[in-house]
Amino acid sequence: MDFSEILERIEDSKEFQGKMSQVMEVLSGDLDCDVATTPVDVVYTEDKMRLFHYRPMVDKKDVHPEPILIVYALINRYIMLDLEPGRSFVQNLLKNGLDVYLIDWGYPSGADRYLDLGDYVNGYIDNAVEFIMSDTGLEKINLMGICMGGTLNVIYTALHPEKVKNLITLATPTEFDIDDAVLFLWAKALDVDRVTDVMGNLPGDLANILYLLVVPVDTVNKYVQLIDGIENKKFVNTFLRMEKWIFDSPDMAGEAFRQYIREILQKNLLIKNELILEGEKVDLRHIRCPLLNVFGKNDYLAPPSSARPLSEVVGSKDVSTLGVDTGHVGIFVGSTSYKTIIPKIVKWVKDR
Amino acid sequence: MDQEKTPKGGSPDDFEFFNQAMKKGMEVGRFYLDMMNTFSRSVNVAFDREPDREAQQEIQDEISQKSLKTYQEIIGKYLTMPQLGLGREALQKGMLSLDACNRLMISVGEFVIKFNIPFKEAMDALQRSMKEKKDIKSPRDLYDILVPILDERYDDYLKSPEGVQDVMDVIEAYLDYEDKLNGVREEWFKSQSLPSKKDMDEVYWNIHHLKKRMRQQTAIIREQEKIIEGLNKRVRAVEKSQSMPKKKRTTSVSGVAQKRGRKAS
Repeated sequence: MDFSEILERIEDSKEFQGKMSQVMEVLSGDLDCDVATTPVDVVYTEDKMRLFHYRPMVDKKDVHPEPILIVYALINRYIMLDLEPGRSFVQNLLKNGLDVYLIDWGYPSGADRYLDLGDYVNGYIDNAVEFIMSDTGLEKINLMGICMGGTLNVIYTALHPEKVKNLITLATPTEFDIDDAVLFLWAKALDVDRVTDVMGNLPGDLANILYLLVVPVDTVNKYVQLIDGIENKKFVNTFLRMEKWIFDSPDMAGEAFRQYIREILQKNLLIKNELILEGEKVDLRHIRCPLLNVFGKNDYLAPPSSARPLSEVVGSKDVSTLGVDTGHVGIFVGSTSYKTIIPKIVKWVKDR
Repeated sequence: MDQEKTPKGGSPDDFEFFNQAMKKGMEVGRFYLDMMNTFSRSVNVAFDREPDREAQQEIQDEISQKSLKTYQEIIGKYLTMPQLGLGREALQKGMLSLDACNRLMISVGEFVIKFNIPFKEAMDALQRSMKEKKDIKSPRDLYDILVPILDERYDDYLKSPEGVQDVMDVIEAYLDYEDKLNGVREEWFKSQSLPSKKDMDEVYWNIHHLKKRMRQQTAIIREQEKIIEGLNKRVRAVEKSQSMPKKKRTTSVSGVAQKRGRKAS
């Protein structure tokens, strides 16, 4: 079969035409693609930040006494952790008896352009931790950080070690002197001062375009997969939920973006213990609580070369490193997450 | 005024104007042809059976320079020239933003051309695979072979120094456009007596600093409260120990008596 013959077959293919009309029919039909449906109480708010407390899904007596606070990245939204009933990372934690709090950063506007990493770490995260501590009467809580939220948690734990019982980092980049991540290469070449001076905040859409451009083939291929799986309604619903999450991109506060790119990414100061935040040195050797460092072996956004080194630089003697055969999203969504990662996280927390 | 008449009665100045216009037109035409020639050479190089990556890069750079030069000669220099009159400033900002918009379009266009090179290379690789593999029976088989090839080519391109620079060039053109557009927005806000972005940034800056100070003060108060609570606990403990002296004395006296009793016995 030669190339022109194949193209002719695509054009003439009744199967292909049938699929396309089926796509239109399914997408215009009755779909269930709501996200973030797990019952939750907003227990604390500050500016645009909201602290969620998820309602337990097991008997109160079976709930683990030490709560866990999840800090999500400043890019994209937490809804990926609560994508759909049955495929929800948060629900799985709840069903396994953990008491879960989560920070929703909301949508920063022009009024938030001067928020820096200090405001996020020593302000919002610390206030959320203090709230949970006073709410539960505990002196320490568990912290879980997702992607860039993990980086924020690492900084927080180094600065406030007395408030953190256990630290869990998921797909968290900390080493940036690597050459196998396209996004880091771009970020290193970026004139970050010019971006923030001109734009104020980093526009979510600009960040999204760059994310999609990192994997141009996947960006197109996923729609081919949608056509392939159009007959499977469950798959279509999940696809649409993912689509909602991917294109729900809040802007990122300008100063926080500037600091993150220039000091953490371009100068790689965090892993070198040279980062200064609000006048205080961030020394990762001050992290002495148990650490569980989880990363995806096929993660192209926070590759293993960037996530793994954290385990070696913290001051903790109880360090567990878990490399999983999955990508960035696969840590939170999919069978590997539910069957392998979540049970290990829950056991690790309960054991400590 | 005594002007030299031409055979048809027009003045030489009239012809001078037309001459100039013709010259300009010819010049623009030359630029355009030059650019199109470069484009066609680029297509030839791109569709060469065994493409030379260096030659491709060279020709891409040439396209970038020539398309920009042509744009500058035909349109750009008129948009960036100084404006006159009452609305001078606003007009100038408007023209500059239009110029930046055109440059962004050129930059995106160039990027799209460069972005197509890995695609073309992948198609060549696909043709080779098709010759090697005999079991391709459907378009789907072909697609499944193409996807990993494309993935590899784009990954190589986007990680290469040229790829990184190409992405940065587009971002820079976009930022320049946004920067110039901000100037236009400022003019519009000014005309409506609305606070400009700069004005609002100043307000946000001050609010941010107030909040930061408030947060730091709150943290200090929180620490102080903890210290006070600790001190209060100690005070309460001291008070408690002082409120039981009689019991203690009694115990100790009786203890001494007991000891004495033991000794006596």
